[in-house]
Amino acid sequence: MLFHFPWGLLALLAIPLILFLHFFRERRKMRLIGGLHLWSFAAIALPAGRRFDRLIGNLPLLFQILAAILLSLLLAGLDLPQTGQISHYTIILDDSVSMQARTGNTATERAVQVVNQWAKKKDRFTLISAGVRPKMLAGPFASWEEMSQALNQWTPQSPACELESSVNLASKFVTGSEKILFLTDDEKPVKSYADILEVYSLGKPQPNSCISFADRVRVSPSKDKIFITLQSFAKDKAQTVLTAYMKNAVVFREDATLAPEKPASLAFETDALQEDLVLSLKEDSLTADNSVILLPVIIKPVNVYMEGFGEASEYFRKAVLSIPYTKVAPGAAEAHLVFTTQKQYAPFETNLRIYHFLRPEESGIIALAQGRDIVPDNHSPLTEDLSLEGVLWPYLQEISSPLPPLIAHFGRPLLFLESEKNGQRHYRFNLVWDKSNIFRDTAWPTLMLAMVEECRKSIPGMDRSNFRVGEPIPLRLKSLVKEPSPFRLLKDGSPYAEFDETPGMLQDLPKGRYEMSQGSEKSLAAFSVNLFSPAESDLRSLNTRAADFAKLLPATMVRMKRNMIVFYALLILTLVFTALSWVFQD
Amino acid sequence: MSDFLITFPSRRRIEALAQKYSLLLPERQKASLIGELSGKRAGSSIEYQDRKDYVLGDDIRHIDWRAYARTDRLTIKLYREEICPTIDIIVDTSLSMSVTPEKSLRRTELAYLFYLLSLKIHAVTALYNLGENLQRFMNPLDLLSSKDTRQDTPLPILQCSPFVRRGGVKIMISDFLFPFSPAELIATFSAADCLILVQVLTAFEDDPGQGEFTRLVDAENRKFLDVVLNRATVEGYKKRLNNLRSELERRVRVAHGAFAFLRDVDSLDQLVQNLLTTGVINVK
Repeated sequence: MLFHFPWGLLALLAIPLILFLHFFRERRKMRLIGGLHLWSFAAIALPAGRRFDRLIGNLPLLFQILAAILLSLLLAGLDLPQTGQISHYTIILDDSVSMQARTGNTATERAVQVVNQWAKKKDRFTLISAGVRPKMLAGPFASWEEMSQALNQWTPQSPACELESSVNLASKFVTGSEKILFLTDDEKPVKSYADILEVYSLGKPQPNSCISFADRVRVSPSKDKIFITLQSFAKDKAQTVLTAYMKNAVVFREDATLAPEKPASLAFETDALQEDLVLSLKEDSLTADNSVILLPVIIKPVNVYMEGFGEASEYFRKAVLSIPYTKVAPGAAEAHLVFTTQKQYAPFETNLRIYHFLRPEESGIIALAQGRDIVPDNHSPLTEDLSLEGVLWPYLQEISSPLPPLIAHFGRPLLFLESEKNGQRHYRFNLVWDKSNIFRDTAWPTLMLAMVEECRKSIPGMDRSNFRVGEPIPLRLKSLVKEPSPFRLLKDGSPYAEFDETPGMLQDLPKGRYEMSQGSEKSLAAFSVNLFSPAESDLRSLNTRAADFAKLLPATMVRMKRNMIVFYALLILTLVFTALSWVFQD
Repeated sequence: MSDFLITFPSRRRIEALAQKYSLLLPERQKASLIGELSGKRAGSSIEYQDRKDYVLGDDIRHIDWRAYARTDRLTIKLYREEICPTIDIIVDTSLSMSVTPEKSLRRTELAYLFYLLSLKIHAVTALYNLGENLQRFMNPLDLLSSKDTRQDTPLPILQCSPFVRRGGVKIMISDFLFPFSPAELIATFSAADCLILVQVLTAFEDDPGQGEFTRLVDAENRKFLDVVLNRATVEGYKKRLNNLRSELERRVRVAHGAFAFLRDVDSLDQLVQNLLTTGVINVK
């Protein structure tokens, strides 16, 4: 016998209170009279005999005391627990996509069947899935019901099975000589863990073809080019058909003969439509690697504005127009990238990068940097590998930089980041440009390209729309609604996740087509996640081998299960005696 | 003596009242002994009252021979009977008579008064203690020290007692709050020449007054009733009490008796006034 909450026994203090109230209550108005028979007409309670009366009078008190005792026992959690020995098992599931390969049934279905048949309802389980990262599906020390539910919902989709991290996690829950049960379709990679894992391999070797790579690139304003790599994992050549669909219409089809171990590359062009392109291979045992969806290429045009350069503006314009998806903006309000000679330039919200140049009338001690003495910062994307060999760079000596310069001449800053605020960066060109030859040098278009691309990357939104499983997905989205509204992520049209704030990066997304929206606004971003995992597509090495469950040597523990009969009995008796005390109360 | 006075301060007063008043006895009597008072019926005293014709069975010692010689008719001389009254004082000593000390004291005072009044006329006085059973006792003042006993209903006890079958005066002091039929009670004393019933009640028993939820406890058996002393309840009770008293009074009067009612809170003067009004006593 034990008490789960011994403090509940303090409720016994109610008994003296009950006694006090009982005797206090007895002091009501009472009259001793010679006889009752003249009053019988007015009785409001049944008369009672002396002995019976004494008994009935004390019954409410007795019932109240009993109810108080039972209630205190109930609150104290009196229990006569049912004890039993239970075992704990730690199970790791191979979460890689190859477990979905079907020959009649899949390795996943076979694994679920094995576990459901073997696991006992009285035992406890810790269930971990081993994908790119380990994940606790049930437990630790979950009941059979919890484990079974998690197992039935398990769908392996990972591009790889990273066993080391999963074993590290699972090891936290094993003691002594206990072994971890590992359910997989290929036991070969597991050999190094033989002392800690008991492997149950449920794979069946079979040939498989897959799309091992695909991408979509904008080659011209009106054309996209699609690059595809196909692979076959079979003993012999495999015949397959690749079909490309856009708006449910076939835009490309090719019959391919795939030699074993030799990837086959294909390419074709389509119109640069803002439509999804679906690539589909003839279905085989593993369907997860037979289809790819490529979303339209994301183009982020950069608008450039320049002011105060007079005739030299032409050099800026030429350099801008030579860069794809870049144009000269009519005004600073529409520009992402601004070149200005204004002393006090007031930036617009759209301006992301502002390069301040010296004004022609600006005076000071001019120094001259030239050729190899001009040192660019090769760690910065703006000046990486920038050659200023033939450049003459006059500059003002007294200008200083708060940060290490991007281009320097014996430590004196020639180009540097002056400030950054609210996503806007202000750079300063310490260049007496009207006396320099930089605009005529080949370095200028190179530098302009770097500046434009650096600015393009800073424009909010995704840079790409197609990713592979396991790849982190940066979003950099901007909220379009003024009032706080959650961000919703849809996968293949169905709700997948919700975020209170815009997520900066998404990870571990399974294969599918995704859209991020906010409130009632249209889609903020759309992207696809495709499975490209040749290692998982190779099903030739899968094997079947049952585990010896006896080798698991689980830890045993004494389980004390609360005796609910005691609980309900105390509860019912408390209610009964409370009701009886009320019934017999006069 | 001093202890006695402390517990019974009205003793002297009772004794003075006994000097001042006397019991009002009925004309008809069935005397069993020759006493000092003259009765109105023909008896065997030496005082000649009248004559009547001789019938078979008359005492031949009383044949008026002189009248026979004159008239040739046998007649019997009738003599005034001497009265020696028997007074039985039955005092209810059940628990109900001591629900208040005042009620108990009133009972004792009444018993003592009637006892003194009885002695005054040289009546053969017997005191009976009617509690759990019927017991004779000698001194009414013993009531002060005796304990009342539980009594379910006294009628069967009375009906079985021998003294109810003889004549004389019966004085019963009780609260008459036991379940009984007035007719049956009066019938029990049918042999009495005179029946005096004196009811003693507490002020509450006489008039409960409106009040709150009250538990009424029977002093005899500790049974209880919970009542609400609202107007309807109080009036209902008083109606029943008055009916009881009226019935008792009517039947006692038919039996040539008297019924008096007293409250424990009444003064001795009020007590005497009630007894005078109801014809139990008169001024000497």
